[in-house]
Amino acid sequence: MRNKPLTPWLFLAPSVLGFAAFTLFPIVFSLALAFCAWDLFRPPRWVGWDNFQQLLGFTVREAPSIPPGLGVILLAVCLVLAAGVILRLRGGVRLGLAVGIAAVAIFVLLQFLEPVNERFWYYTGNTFYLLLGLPLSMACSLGLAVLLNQTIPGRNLFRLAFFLPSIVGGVGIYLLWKWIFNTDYGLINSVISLVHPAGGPAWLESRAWAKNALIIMNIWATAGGANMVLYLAALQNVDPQLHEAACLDGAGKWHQFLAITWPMVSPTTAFILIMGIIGGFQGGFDAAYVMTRGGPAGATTTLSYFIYENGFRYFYMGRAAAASWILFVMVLGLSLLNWKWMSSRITY
Amino acid sequence: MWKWRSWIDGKWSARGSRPSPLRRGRTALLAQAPPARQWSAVTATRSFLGILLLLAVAGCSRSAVNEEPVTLRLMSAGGYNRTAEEEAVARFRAKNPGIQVEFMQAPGRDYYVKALATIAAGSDLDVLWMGSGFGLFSWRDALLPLDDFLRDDADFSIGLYQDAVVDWYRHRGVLLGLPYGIDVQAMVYNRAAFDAAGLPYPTPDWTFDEYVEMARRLTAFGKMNAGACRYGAGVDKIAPHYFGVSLLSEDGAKSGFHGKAAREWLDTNVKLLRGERSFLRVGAQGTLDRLSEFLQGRVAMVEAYSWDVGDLRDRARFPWVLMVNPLGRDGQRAGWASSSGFAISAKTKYPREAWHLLKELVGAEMQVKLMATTVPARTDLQARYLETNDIPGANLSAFLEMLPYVKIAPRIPELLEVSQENDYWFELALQGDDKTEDIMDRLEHSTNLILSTSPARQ
Repeated sequence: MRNKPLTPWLFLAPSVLGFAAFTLFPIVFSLALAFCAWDLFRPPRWVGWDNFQQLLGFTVREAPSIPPGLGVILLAVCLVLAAGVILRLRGGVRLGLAVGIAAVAIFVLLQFLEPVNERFWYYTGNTFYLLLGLPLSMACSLGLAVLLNQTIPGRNLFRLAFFLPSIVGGVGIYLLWKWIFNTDYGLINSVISLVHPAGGPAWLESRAWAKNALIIMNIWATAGGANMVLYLAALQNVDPQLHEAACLDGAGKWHQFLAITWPMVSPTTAFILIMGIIGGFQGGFDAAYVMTRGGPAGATTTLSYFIYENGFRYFYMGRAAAASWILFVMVLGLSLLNWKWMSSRITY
Repeated sequence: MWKWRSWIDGKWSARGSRPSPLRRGRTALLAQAPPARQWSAVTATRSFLGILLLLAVAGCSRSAVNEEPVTLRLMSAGGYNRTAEEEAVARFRAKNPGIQVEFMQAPGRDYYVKALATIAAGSDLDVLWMGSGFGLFSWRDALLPLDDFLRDDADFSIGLYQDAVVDWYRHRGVLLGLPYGIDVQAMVYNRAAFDAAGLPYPTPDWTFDEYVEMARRLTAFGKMNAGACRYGAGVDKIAPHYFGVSLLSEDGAKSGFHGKAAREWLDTNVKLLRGERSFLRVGAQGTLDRLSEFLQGRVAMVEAYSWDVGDLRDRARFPWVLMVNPLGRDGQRAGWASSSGFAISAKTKYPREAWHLLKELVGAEMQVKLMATTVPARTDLQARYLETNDIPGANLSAFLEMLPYVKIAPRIPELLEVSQENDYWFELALQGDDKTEDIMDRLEHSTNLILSTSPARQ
């Protein structure tokens, strides 16, 4: 029998060892830690599912918002409707109806149950809310790429100017925007007060506006960055003959964009979307730490900031590890959904 | 057809191929060479053990021959204390020439987190500054007990230190740190602002309601007169002790925010900070810190701490006066206080040397040097506090007059989390979206939940 060659393993060894030591082992360790309570000083103590239960668990409300009898009836109606929808209806409307019925069922359940850690769900909501900036940022990147793909004088200078914010250090940008958003002296409110005497909103001091402020800042910082460069490359791969043919057929610019440009850059869009979702879930920490410290009243606290606080301020390592794995499951789930959704919409 | 032999595997991969002349010669040479030594498992094991033994001997002899000098690592927040700490270290090194001392500095806001992480990671940290975050360390057994050192060291007299302040560094009867100073809080007001508004100055028996009324009138005056103090008073939040409540119960086991008084405290904060805006919320988004707002003349009254004296003396461009805290609505006077001191890390490799350094850092010379920023912990030095900080008209005796009224917060391991929780609900109340009654109930509930489920106590 032939012996297997040793050479490939020797060449792979440094990379594999590094991966095992700095990636695989910490991942496995964090999974084990998610089931323990550990404050770095005393040995880890096995607590089973406690950490997950404290984050995701529900308890019965002391005073339900609606009478129990009515709640049970509503739940039963939801179940019957859901069964009917699944069994009888066909077509795309089935998914929408099923989602609607599920939402009603969850709403009814929440009148009887309350989360053990309501703040965790709020921070999860913050994380999803901040992801709303992603499509806006992508749209701006694509728009800038389309504009910068034209042959205009000083095109390279414009490309540099739009790309610069993405390479400036993060903390510098956050401190700059912290002053731009200042309620009394900030640039934005100073301009707003010229046309509106009451002035602008209390951006970073207001629970309603703090997240929107971070979204605006993020769009400014990322619109002209790597995404724009990726779109530029994609646009340059679009065959100009397609545009010429469309033009000859009488298609306008907007129609050409929808029918030719947008489908041709769909692979790039899919990539940017997935990377943006992953980055969006993991991000939000640095801006919150520098600008708002997660406030006001937790309005800018994301899951990553929550993990940092629990792990490195309160030294609840087990809880932080559990939250990390919950975050991982969310990112994985969304990425898979996105992949499935986009796979039928990508044009090669 | 030739196929290349794999020289690592030592196998012929060709079938029916004729070896090259070079290979034929090599094969012949190998056939004549003596048989290769056979390595048995026993031989390999003996060789391995021999190498281990050699390494162990080399390691021992190395440590015996090349002893590194003792280096102590001292962590503090720096700032005002840095010069005094350097002088204390210089005195220590003069008495112990073979010992090096390395400074580690951590920014004020994250000092406790960094110190805890450094100790937890097993990094070399020997002596560390210790203040109100003592509970974070004591509950986690992160500090070295000092009772044995005190018993064995006749040169150090703990009796000279104020008993109540030394007790702040005891955990379950064990002494884990030593103080050099007492940080006290009083009020400071801008005398020129009061003169301009035509208001009488605060007096020692002033009440909380009088304080609020003065602030309202100063704010109203500031709105109408350019150049005057814009706000009568500036606070991060109005202290709960004016309403007879506190963040935690006496034993630190549950929330102190319950009942009518707590709701009244929150309602007053919302009214003054958000509704009327007669108080400026300092340190929040868009405002400077408490002392800067006062020194810039934007705010007429703020809370003052003993460490502010130097800045007040050097940077204020108007006459200022300290005053004891107003009497609360319950008729009692109270104020924040803490102690500044040093402790030894439980993981130090040089406990005896660290003890000697600690003695220098909390000794008489250090306390005299820091009299501008903190009231000395030694009772024999407290009388010199006013002589040292002789600022005419400033009434620095207000800090000493507050000493009998100070309430030290319970030293709990969840201090950061409970404070953060309190800040969260407080900010939520200021947003005005929820009823203060609901917020107080939820604050009490969530604080009790944190304390009852804290892994640090289990």
